[in-house]
Amino acid sequence: MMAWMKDIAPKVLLRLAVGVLVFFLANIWYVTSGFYKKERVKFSPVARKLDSAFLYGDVVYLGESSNTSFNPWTDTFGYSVSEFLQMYLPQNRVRGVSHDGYHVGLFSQMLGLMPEHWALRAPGFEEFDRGDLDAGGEKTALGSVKYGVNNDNWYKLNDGKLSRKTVVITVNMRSFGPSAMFNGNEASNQQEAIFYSHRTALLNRVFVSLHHYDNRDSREMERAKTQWFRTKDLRLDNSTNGRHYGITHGDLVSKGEECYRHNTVKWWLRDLQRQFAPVSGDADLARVMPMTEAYLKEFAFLLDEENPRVQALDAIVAKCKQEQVNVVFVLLIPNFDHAHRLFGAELTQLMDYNMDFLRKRFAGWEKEYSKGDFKVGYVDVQRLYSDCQLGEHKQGVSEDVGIGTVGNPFFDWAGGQHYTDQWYPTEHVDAHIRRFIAQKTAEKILAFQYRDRIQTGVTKPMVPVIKPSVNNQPNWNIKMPLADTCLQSWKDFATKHLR
Amino acid sequence: MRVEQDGSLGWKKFWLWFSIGSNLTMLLMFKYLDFALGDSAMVRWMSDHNATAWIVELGKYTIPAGISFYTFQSISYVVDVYRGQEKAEHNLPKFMLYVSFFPQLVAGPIERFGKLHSQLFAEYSPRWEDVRNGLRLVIYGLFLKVAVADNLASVVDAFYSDHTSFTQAEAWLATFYFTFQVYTDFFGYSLLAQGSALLFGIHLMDNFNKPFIAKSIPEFWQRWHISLSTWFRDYIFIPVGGNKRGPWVLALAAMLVFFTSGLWHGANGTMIAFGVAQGFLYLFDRFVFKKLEFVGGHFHDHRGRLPLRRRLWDGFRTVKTGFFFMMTLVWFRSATMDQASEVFGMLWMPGYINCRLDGLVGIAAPTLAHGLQIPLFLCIFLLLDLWVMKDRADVWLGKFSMPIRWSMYVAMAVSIWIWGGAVNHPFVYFQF
Repeated sequence: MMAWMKDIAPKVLLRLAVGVLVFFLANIWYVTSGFYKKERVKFSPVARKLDSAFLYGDVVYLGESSNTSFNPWTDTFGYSVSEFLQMYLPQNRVRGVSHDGYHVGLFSQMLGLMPEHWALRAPGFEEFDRGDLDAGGEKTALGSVKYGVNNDNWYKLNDGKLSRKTVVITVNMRSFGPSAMFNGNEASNQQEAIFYSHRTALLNRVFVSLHHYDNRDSREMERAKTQWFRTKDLRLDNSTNGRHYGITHGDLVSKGEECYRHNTVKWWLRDLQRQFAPVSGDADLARVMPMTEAYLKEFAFLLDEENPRVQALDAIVAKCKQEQVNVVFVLLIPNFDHAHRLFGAELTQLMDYNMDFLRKRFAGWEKEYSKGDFKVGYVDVQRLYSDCQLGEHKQGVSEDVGIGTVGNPFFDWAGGQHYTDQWYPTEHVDAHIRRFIAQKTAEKILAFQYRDRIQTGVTKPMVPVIKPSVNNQPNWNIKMPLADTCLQSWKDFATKHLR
Repeated sequence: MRVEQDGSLGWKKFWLWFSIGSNLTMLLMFKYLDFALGDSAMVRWMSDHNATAWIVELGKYTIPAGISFYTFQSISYVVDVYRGQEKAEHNLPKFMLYVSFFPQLVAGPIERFGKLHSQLFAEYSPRWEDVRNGLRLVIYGLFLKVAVADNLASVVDAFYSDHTSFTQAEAWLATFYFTFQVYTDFFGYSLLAQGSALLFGIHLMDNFNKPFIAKSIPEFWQRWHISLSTWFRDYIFIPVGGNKRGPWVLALAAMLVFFTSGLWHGANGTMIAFGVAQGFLYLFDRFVFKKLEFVGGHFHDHRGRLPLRRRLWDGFRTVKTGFFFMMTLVWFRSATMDQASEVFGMLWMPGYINCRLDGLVGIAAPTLAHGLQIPLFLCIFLLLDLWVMKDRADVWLGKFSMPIRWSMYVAMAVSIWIWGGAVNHPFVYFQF
């Protein structure tokens, strides 16, 4: 055996060495020819935006579609959350990087592009180096001049502290569920994510060529999702009372209080379809039906520690702690209103459970890192908005003009009319709530900065006033009718058959 | 073992069919159950019960990789033992290794027991020549898959994902590209399998032999997916009657082979249409086109060379064969029969106008322009495959001096690294 090893091994090793050498030479050519730069933009446009955001930003807002989604015809203002945030933080450079369908798993990978010792660097630091060379050694900061703050000032403002930089992570509860996790577009997202790292340029391209990422196709994703729907238990306390209708085959007699909950999404869907079949001719109900299925598939799940996206949250905190960059999680507010109108408390209690699961996690971190340079904060949009609404209601200046409070007497959630997608469960909210999110996020960031004694010249927010009134509310009747009428029809049906 | 050991012919036959039946049952369950049952009441009933719901889910979403390949490999073993051509393997792990030898497990070549078994259990003595040739096959196979097939796939996928948005010319381009996408994808995989096996000193059979120089469909199938074609020949075509019992039996046997071949490729109407179309083309060449041979004139002139007329005729036949094959691949690639019909309409309807919206409402039209490397790599491959490479890639590369050979390795490696297709496209034959 050793004889052939002696014969073959050196030859193989020699070829491997030549292969490695060729690889590195090819890598040099790949980068210097500008090919990589071009391909990076082609395969991962977000990576380029991230570079810029980390280069020039004090606050980097990583968001998904809810950051920028607005209805161009009916929304009050076209500003995104990150743009509003910049208005609330004029003394910071806020850079928003958003992409449809992104989630904390990808945000965690995006932090891989965070420059080393980013917390220590002045904005535009790379431009500074280049300017330094161009000016023959004179310390002029191109990037800094461009933005009106020079390098020395920045350090003064920072008062020698490291933690001026902040990453804002949008957390969408829905994205932790099976429908979002096993989405057909996830493979292309994962391909883009290859470029969220500082590894050798050519290696990134080789990973693309050889599909070295989670490249499960839509069929495999569909299978994983179906399996989840079939097997994951939805009973909060694992009680035996939550029998599904599938066992009894429509035995509605047994549908007492104890049989309130369905075991799995699959049975829930099955039951829904069975109840719906006799009334499928009703136009209003037929219009709502796809929406109800979507709400079930998107929100009927229970979070646990094993969820990969929960683990991604841990990774985000670990990375930010390592780099001493503050992190603020923005827990977005799902459309509880429509969920409640469709399925009542049966669905919203699951949503509440998941929201609480995330809240507890964030609150734990906030407490754990309350002292020291590194800080974690979270913005609970739902609770804050609820407090705000309730306060305004008590003062008689409630902004939800004409919105009933049935099922939502304590303003636990935002009215469904605030959501730009009326027929699908997204977190795309109108300018009113986008501004609210930005305001609360800014307050959190400023709280960190004041505590670090970072005082800057300009503190007055430059935010356009959105005075809610009937005329200022989006005029849904123009392009995008509210789901209200259909939901009213659904309510009668659901009360009779589903609850 | 029972097939070999049982004394009476009746029992032997029983065990033979029992074995074939059990193999086919697994195949049917995973591959054809969903197709066969559709959305019947039984399926709905099974879905409604937890105890059986997983079966429906399994049938709907799961196909074990390469099940069609190793099922056929197992069947060939049983039949060979029944015929007395091979001795039964009494050692189960050894048999399992034969069935599941990893390089050819998922997409062939479908090896016969006698050839593979004798190599697997021969004394292992690696030779540098095998390792070297294996590495050459691997790099060339990767080049075909990653640089050629995956790049072509980006165009083909773009077309078939929204075919009505494209023009007639683009439909022809996508159809042409798909022909060579399938070829380079599967050929590339076969070379990778052969190369990987060679690293262990195992020689697998060649699965392709320049199919696009074939002058007729029968010849084409002797050069395309050879391991499957020979399997069908030995275990279906000849047992049914082959070409010894007159034209009607031949036609029946051929149609049976191609129908089975279509079904083997996939449990849907498009694959069956592909198989049946191949069957008709086979019979057309065999019975009709053969009668036109006189057009080509003599095979040799007075100097013993091929006359120009014969060369032109052969060239025409080659193009015709490739063209017919290309046309049948529309069924192979289409997701549904409706899509196939629409694509055929796009290809053949005079003055076809697409329903593109660009220019009307300012929506950017989808494009098939995916970079110059696509036609470039395809041309290089066609040049090599049709004219330059007279031997298998490893042997052919070995004929060059070291600097030229290494330049070619570097060129292939850099093509894979930098210009590899980015579309997430698994090997086409993995789905079978």
